[in-house]
Amino acid sequence: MSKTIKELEALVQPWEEWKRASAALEETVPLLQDSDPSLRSLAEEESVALQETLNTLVQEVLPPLLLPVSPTQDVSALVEIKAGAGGEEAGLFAGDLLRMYTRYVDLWGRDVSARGDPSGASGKGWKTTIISESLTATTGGRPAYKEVTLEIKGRGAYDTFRWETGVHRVQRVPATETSGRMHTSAVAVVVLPLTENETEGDAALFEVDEKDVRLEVMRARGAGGQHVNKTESAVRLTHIPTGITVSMQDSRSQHTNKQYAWKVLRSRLFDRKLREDAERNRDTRRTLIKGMDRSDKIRTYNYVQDRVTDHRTGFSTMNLSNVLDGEGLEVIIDSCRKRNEEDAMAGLLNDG
Amino acid sequence: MSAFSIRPTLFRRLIRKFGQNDAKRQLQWLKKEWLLLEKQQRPSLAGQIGRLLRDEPLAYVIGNQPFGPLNLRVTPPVLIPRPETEEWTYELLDRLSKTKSETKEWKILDMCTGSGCIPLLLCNEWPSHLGEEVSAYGIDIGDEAISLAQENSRRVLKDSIASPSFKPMKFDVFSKGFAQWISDTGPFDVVTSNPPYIPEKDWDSLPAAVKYEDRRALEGGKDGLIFYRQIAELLTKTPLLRLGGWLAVEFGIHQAEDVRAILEGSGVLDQVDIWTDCFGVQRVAFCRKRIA
Repeated sequence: MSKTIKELEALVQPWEEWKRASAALEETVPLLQDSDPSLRSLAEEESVALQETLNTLVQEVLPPLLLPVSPTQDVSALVEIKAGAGGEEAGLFAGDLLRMYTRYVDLWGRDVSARGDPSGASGKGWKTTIISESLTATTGGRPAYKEVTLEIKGRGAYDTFRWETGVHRVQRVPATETSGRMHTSAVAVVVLPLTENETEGDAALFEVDEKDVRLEVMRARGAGGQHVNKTESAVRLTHIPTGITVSMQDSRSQHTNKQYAWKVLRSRLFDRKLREDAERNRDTRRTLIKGMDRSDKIRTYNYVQDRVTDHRTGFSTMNLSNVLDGEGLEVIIDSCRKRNEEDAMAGLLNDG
Repeated sequence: MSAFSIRPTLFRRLIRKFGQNDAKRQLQWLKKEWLLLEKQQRPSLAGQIGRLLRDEPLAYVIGNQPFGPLNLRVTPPVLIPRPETEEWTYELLDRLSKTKSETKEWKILDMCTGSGCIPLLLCNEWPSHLGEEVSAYGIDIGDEAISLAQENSRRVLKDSIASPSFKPMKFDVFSKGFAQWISDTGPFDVVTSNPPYIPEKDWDSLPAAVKYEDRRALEGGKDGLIFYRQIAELLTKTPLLRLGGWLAVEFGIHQAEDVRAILEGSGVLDQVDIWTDCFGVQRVAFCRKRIA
């Protein structure tokens, strides 16, 4: 209830402003025909300014406020990056995407984490942690990834990064290619919502019952304790009702592996719930499903033409290195977000 | 050397010794740590792998061991922190955090502290609602353990003289001097211990890697139980624990009932709760000093 009031507060001020401006305009209209020419020109200026205010309010300020507040506006993100077709090239590009997201957070994390906050308070900034990675052998000095999972902690991270879910295609001449032939490879990105049970104090958005989760550890430990000093830290979690399993063995600390495995499991289950909710709820289906299909090719990075194209919005930019440095990514993400808002607005109007 | 590479023959020997998965995993961990070092400080990989092939534990070869979020330094022959100990220390924290604060200033004693892993994790993860003042002490008989625990204290608590604090001290658990020190410093609110508990007869059959560790940190007399008898003795004869204070002691496989009997024999404890670790082995006795 208090949450609803808080969300509506954002609407009150622009609405009051609109009422005030519209009443003022009404008062100004009779003055436009006043016999005093100086009064008439004053009234004209006034009415132009008021009409501009009203237009801005109606066209730009109010529409996004009418959209339901995103239920995931406070949620952190887990970004899973997996090399697809293209061998080592794909692995190297997975590393490029990892770098792009990390740099994006360094550059923009503080600014965009305030997004979607109705009170307009600035965010605290985001923090990135690699929670698991699997590397392949490389020919050069750069790392090539089979798979890497990046945690982006902070409010708004999921709502910002969710547009990155999908297949990213790269077209370039690999450094290892001597004949100068262009290769096409692909990297799949999946962005999952992440909530920490401990930080979601009031009415947790999403919870996993610990009783539903089975923990398995390395079995061949025998007596254990002081009798054994082999590093055996791998864990596997199984969510019994859904059968979802998560294995984690990156850290030499079993506790850290357990903690990270829980993060991934919670995220997958939360993601699953969001999808189920979306399918049940006709209103959000249109908008959510569009942003959640994983097998769609969403973007192409063409090195030869120095161009990045987002296939959902048709948005194209000529400065590829600027995007991969994280700076230019904000424009693309913003275009996806705006497109989603427009679609959602259209949906609202159609349902009338 | 700037790139991480090893001779295929060495890799094959590693696989033969540890199996495919284990060999790969150990190499990945070596690599991770290796890449963190400055180029000039990087050790010879062939040398490191040679040490693994000679059964030296990975933690000694790398020089550190994560314990929860802590990155502790470990050097031979000080006992390498085990996952079981990591797990029950969190279990103890969980049990502590579920109680209402009983005191504002917490005094913690860890006997046979080794690297200092238990008290340092308690200090680092201390539930703030229990009170901010935490002074922890760790005692050990080994000089190497004391200096390592001091180094880890600086690593984790950053030399702070403020709370929480951790002070490693050299004592023999069986000495009169230690009993006297308890009388001067106690009673403690929380007493923990992972004392040597391997029975004498088990020594010969221990894996070669374990024998790199200090025998004094592993062997607990003929039946592996001498330290529990001493703890029970200290409980009755010294102000070791305050009324309602917490005791957590780790023990070895098949020792649960003996340890329970010894602790209950002290006559000053409430019910002794035996806790089973995630590998399915009874591992720790949790208990509190009886109030009435």
